[in-house]
Amino acid sequence: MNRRKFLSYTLGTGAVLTTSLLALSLQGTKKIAPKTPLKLLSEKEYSILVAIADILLPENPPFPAASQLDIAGKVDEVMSKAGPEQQEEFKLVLHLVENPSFATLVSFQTSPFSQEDNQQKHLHIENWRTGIAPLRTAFKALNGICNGAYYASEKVTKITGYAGPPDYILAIRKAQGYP
Amino acid sequence: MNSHKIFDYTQLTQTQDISCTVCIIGSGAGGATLAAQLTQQGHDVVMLEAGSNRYTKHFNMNESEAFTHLYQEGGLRATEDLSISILQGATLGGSTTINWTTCFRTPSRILSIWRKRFGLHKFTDEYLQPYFEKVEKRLNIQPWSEASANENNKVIVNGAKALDWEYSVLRRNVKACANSGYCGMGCPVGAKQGMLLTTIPDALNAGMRLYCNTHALHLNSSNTQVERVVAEVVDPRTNKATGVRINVKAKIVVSSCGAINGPALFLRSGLNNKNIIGKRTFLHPVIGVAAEFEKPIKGFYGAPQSISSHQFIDRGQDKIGYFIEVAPTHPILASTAASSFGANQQLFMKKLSNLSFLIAIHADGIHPEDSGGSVSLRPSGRPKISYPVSPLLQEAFSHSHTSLAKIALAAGAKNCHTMHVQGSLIESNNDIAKLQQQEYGALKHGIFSAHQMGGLPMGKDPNISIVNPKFRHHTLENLYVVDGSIFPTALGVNPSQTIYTLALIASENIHQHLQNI
Repeated sequence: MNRRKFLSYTLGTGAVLTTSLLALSLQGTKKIAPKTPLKLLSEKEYSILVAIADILLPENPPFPAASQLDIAGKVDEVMSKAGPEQQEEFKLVLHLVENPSFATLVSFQTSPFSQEDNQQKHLHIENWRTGIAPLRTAFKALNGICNGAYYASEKVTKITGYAGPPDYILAIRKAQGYP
Repeated sequence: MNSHKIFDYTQLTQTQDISCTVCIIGSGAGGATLAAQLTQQGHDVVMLEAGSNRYTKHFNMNESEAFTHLYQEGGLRATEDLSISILQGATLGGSTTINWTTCFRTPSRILSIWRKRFGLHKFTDEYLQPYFEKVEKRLNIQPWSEASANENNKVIVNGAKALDWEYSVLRRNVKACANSGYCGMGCPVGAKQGMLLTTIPDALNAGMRLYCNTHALHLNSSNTQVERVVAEVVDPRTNKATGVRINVKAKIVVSSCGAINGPALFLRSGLNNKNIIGKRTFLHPVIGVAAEFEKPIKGFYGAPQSISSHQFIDRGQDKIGYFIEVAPTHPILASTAASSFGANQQLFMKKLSNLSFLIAIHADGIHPEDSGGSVSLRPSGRPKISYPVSPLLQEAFSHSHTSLAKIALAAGAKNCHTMHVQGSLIESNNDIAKLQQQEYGALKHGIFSAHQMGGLPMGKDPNISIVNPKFRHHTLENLYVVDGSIFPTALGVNPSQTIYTLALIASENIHQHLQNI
């Protein structure tokens, strides 16, 4: 292949790829209405987080799905108190997971994450979990904060066998005049 | 608590200039111990605490609320790449309000290293002895009993006995402890003898003024003196600054805001002329193994830590040592330790009652080639923590995973789960060889920190240290540092008692300094 052919080949491939990625990025997010007013995330970001959280913490009886406990809403509340850099980075991760023009580089994702079926979503999250270091960091950010909100729920903790504070401690507190 | 000299964001609605003899930034192990001594000697002390005034009444054993209100960054503090989760207090009393009450005297071998390598010649066992004793008396530091250890801690006892490994019963700073297991959420019954119920009331009773929700932004200084501490009031409901400033003019300024926030304060203040601020930050990196037993363990109840094994703390001069303890298994803490997701993770959590969480805590910064991590600043001025996991530490992680699996199986565990991205399930001693095939390091498995040290190290040589052996800044004559950030290395034991002890010594130096002004 001479230089001219090589250039036209690579430029042509690049143009096709760019057009494809642009087309992918224009696909919409499956919207889910927030259950309470959002403090940090946009409705789009909230919807992406709902989709991610339901893969991280699916309905798996007796475990409820994250969406049944509005974990995305609780994460929004937590992240609204985080530092500005953490907030920006968290939002960026949500957009990168959702955006097929980026995510396909990680996981051959051809649709917005929120529009994919659960099997595909699970595969994509697994690729983030086991991928190169920045992807693992992104996975840890999402998984850690969603878990923190999920396992704060009494409905869930009871399933783990943790029954909450023991009665004798509550009795001591009551005797001390504390709630 | 006597509240007539406690101010918080609800009262601090106007910017104000205040003056005092000593301004102490931070109310944790160092700051509060120091404050009690100095106020009792008649000095006019102002304490600035970024966290809220929360005490026994608020400690309702709700894990989520505890992380939100009592921990740095709502429990989300971590290294920049999120490879190491960092648990650190952010409330009145600092980490002493949320620690697991484990107390150790500073090990002799560490003091020896500090003397030889950092010129801290005064720090011998004999010199420290009376200070240790004074701290132990004030905080009621006493051995717990093996019989009172919960099942989680008994795993170490049973495993160590079977393997003929060293183990010991821990000493704890508690009084009338109800063995609840909630130390990490603030003691719900007022038994923990942290700063909140000991030295902070001592200082308040002696006249200290305490400003809560007041975050020190920077130290304004001339060439030789800190002229003013500039602080902002923070609304804890939003974690946002209210716009109100508190400006403090003091004869002596003491940084006691810990091994991450302290270096960040110095960096924001432009005090990094030698480019060593925030370097040599040590985290006592922790790895863990979840051991599953047939019988219930219920590691969420009972004193969180009562037994430890220092079998591998000294692995020779060319290796990093570690010690073995357990962590409590409350659901949020336990869930964030799991590296999987989906149904696998839920299945793991369903076994929580039968899991013991064994941890290995690595003594970083002692090996001459181990320089730990660093603290720098984010654009907003908040701290950014970096911690590369060196090959030395990777080797230690490999060794400690093996040890945790061995001790768990020896104690009768039916299996052990590691926290690797591709986790290993160890069901017998034959499986332990699998751990040699695993990768170790950042983002390859869970890593945590509950002990933060260094960043503003003490030493005789100003080229490698920030404060001198009298706790005083090498060039700013009225600036002292009294907290874990002055440790030139990590300790290889839980650090709180060392901080209390050094603060007592610092109080004598500062008192002497004030006599000479």
